[in-house]
Amino acid sequence: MNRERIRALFGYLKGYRHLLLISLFIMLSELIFAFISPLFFSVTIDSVLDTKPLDTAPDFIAWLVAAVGGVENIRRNLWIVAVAIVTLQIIRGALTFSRSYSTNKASEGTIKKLRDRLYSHVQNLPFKYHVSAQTGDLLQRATNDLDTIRRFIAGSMLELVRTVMLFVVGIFVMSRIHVPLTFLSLLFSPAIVFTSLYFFRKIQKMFTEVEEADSKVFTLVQENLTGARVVRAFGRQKFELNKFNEGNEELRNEIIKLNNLFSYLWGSLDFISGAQIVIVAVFGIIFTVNGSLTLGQYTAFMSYVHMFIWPLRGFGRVLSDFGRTLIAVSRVQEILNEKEEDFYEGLEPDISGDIVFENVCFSYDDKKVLDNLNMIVKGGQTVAILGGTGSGKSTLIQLLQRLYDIQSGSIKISGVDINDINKKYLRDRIGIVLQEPFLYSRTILENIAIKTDKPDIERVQEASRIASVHDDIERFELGYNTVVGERGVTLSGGQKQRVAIARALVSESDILIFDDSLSAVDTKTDASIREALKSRRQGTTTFIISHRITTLMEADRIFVLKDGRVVEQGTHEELMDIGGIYRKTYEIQSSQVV
Amino acid sequence: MSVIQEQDYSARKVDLKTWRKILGYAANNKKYIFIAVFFGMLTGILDLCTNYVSMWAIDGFISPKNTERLPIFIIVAVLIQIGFALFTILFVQACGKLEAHLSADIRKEAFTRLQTMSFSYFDKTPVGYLVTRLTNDVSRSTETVSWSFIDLGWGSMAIVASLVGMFLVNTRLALIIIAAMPIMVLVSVVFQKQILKYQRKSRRLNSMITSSFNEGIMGARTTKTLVREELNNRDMFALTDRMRRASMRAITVSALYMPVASLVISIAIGLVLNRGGFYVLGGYITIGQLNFFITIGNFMFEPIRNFSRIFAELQTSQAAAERVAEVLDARSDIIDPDEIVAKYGDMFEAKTENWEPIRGDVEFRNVSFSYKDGEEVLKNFSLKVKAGENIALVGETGSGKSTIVNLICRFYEPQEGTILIDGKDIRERSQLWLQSNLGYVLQSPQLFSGTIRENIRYGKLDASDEEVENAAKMVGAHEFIMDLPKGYDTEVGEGGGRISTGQKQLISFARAIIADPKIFVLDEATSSIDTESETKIQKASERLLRNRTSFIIAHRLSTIRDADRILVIDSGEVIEQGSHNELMELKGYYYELYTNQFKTEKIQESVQALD
Repeated sequence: MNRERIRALFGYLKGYRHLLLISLFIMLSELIFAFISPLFFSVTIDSVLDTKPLDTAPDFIAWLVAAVGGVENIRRNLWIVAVAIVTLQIIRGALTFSRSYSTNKASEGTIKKLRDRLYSHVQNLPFKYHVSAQTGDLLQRATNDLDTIRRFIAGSMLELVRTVMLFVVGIFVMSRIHVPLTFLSLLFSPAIVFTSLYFFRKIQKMFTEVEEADSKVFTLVQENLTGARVVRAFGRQKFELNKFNEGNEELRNEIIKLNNLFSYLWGSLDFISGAQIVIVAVFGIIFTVNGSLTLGQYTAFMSYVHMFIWPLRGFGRVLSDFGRTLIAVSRVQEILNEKEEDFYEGLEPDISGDIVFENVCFSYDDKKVLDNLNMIVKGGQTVAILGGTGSGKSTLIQLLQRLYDIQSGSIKISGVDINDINKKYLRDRIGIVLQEPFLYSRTILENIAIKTDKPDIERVQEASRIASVHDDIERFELGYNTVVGERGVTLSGGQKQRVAIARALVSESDILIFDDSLSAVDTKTDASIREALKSRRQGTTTFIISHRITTLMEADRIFVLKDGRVVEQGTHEELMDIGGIYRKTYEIQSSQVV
Repeated sequence: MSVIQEQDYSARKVDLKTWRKILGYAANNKKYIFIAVFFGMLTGILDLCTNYVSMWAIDGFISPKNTERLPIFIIVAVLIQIGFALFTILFVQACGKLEAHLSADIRKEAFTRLQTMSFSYFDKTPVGYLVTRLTNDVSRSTETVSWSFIDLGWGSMAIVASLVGMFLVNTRLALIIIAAMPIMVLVSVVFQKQILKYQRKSRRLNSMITSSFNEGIMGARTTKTLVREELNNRDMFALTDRMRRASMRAITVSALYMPVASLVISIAIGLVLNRGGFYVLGGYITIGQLNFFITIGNFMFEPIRNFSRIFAELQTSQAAAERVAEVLDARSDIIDPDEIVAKYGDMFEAKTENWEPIRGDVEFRNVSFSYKDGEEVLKNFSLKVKAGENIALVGETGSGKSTIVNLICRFYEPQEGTILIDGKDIRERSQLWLQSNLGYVLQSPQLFSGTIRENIRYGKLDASDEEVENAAKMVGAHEFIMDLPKGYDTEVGEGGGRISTGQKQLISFARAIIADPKIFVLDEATSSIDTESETKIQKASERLLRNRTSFIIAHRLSTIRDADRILVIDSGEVIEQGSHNELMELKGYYYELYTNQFKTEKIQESVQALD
């Protein structure tokens, strides 16, 4: 399980692994320099400010001293030491900066790539996925989980490696100076790690509780304010306040508990690390007085012990980050492992011809929606479909767009089996207006001309006029450049519907579908849209789904659907003669007020 | 979508007044602030002590090669470490408590305040906005301000103690370190500002990405039918690219900060070594003392960095604090005067012993009302309704019918004229008196999380289970409730999300009827429910409305045919009134409305016939 997640995480890094490798390399150099710096001080103290021979100093420092004219010269020109220190710091600073730069370049790049991949993947997931998808959860993964991964790559991941390197380099450098003190310097490391791990486990649990209490308060506030009118109408202010106080106090207490845990974590870590420092100091003093350590080396050791403490203290956090990241990875993988639609295969035939549904069956889960449906639609004709809820009319349309695949039977357009037609091509040639249209948070112009990059304002306006939304749009301050949605103007349901109709009208399509969308506009608009369609589009096969007989009656052919089958078909007159469902519907709708 | 919330990315000037106000809300804040500052300061002193101890180790033991007094050294060193641990625990707890109490108290204050606000406030202020104020903004501002006290105490003491310590040891070396301080301050301020600026930019882009993602998910189905996948991808990729570049800039700036700051320090230390080494060689100072200066040089930067960070954080949360203060300052435009409160009680504590029983006569006397200045909804409106009369209000959106019932409920206050209940001006009694005698059902049924039983009981808190069931039976909700697996103990979910709108509406009817109110208001209450539930309510309505003054606003006119009196409202005036039959004979506005609607209803009826 975890191995898979780590592999996935490693996979995300593709294209940026070399940058991370560079970061690791720089990190190693940084560590080496970090350990060298105190040695410079050490030599300065022992051999420059004191008169100890250089033989305790590492070879390269002895070499450097010789290169600048020996100890005597340095003693006369102490600025050499100062310059050495500043130079060393410049090198270290440059290393730190480049490491941080390359690491972040890798993490930002990785996350951009992952974000893009996730987005386009979600776009390309089949219709079926989106129907049942939980948007909140999906968005949560695309934002929070991705951010957890980014932070891990930028921080804790290399920190993990760095801690290991620190020990390797540290033990190497320190043991060359004094083995027993090296051992003593690391004596409490396990205690620090365990303490931080122990508390981090507890803290994480506590975090969940705080989050729960927090979301409880959120819900309390949200519900109270959403229902503010109800609260007032019933005079329930006191009741509400008591309910809120309970949640509010619980949250407060949980936060205090969590915070206390942190205080104990930091307090005990302070104490253990303090004890570690005292031990090194005391034994350092003893060893120096005994003569097995020089004063300079003592100060170097005091620096080293500090270098170990901070990464060790953070180790619990790093490990818990790692755990959290793996969970985030698995949540992201869950989406990425869903199969995308195949957009690339298939023929691109002319689809303005006849559409033939033959024995089409379809069920959602176990519920049969289409049951041996047969239907022939002549190319260029306008057909109308009447049916109750659950009669299968929307499914029929979805199958026509290949949003779902038929389970048995066949649909042929211009004689070509629909399963052989390229999905994108097919959908591109079909214009559809859904019952509840979705508009993007862009300008109205962009929304209507959404299929093109360079909107043709003339055509957009013409389509808007036909959809009788032009006047509404012109009434907005910014006209066609009004942004709709969250960041702009909220359109009424009817306006949205008409914008969607304009959107469908503006692009050339061979098949045009109105899925219960004409009934949302008033009778007059409905009639004028249909009139305009008739005069404008020769050769466009049009499907109109509606409950309103006046919308349907002029169609070339009317199909009545019930329980997934065509039960009546013909022209208005023919269906009136049959005297079935259609006629009954007609009669109910045309009855008069008594 | 709660994930996306509007954000304010502007950095404002830190205004201490706002912060003092925020701090004023915690009852025990002084105690916690004192502990945090005090132990922060003690820690600052301990830090200096540590440096002294290091100096002592070299000058007292190593240089003279004498370990006689080492036990004392050990005791002192251990005591210092225990002090560190103890102080940390103390000030972390103090700040945590300060933060927790502060945020809880502010939230409570704001929540209480919001309970007293009138409808006009909620009309202007979106719920999401207020929720963000009470959650995110409160947390953000209290967190920043609470934790700043440790750094304030520690940092100021660390600087003062170090300065004193340095001057005690050697004045000239101390001056070198002091000379470096302004440079360090400058570096920190400049960098923090830049970092803040770039972070804001990338945060703004980040929230744009979130909205785009949200749109990508919400609109996925439409995207498919429009074959817009690739265009969407292209837009998104461009956005993520901008995001990457913006964050890289932010990162580059912050990655430069530490190296540059360290360079300043190392130059100072180099100078100290240059000069101090000379002093050591000359025997003016000891090696331990020189080491002391080197450590202090490294250490002094820490408080400066903290100060500039706190300042930057306060700047970022300034906007949040101001918005919180705004909610806390809100005052309702309908306030019961003191003498009314003295007699009838306030919004939270009622003096029911002084409450007069209500009959239900309602009268509007020359009432004028407007939501916004200059847009009068009612003008010189008068109406008399006898107790027990059933009134229906009909008219277009914006005609003023909802305003009329809202004024009866005293959710708004008219600018002119008076409204009388039982012959007495409603302002002569408390709001709670009136509202406790109301039964009110809104267009969108708003339930609270909890069981169905709890929701019905909301109308009468001390109702027995039997009363709850009777109320449900009265509105015809009992059957469907009993059909649910858990019956009356079914959880309705957040906002009632787990049951259908029609069921929610029936429950909200039961909730309104359980208290046996004398005035009953149905504001478009049946427009969001299915015909079946509507029929149920209609059947029950005769019983529901008996012996109560009732006001019904209904979109579907078939629901109001039985009203005693139908008022047709247009532009705030009654243009027709009478019974259904009378109005139909009149063949006026009502007649036309009714005929049109009849047709629409027939279409719906025919759809049901299809199934």
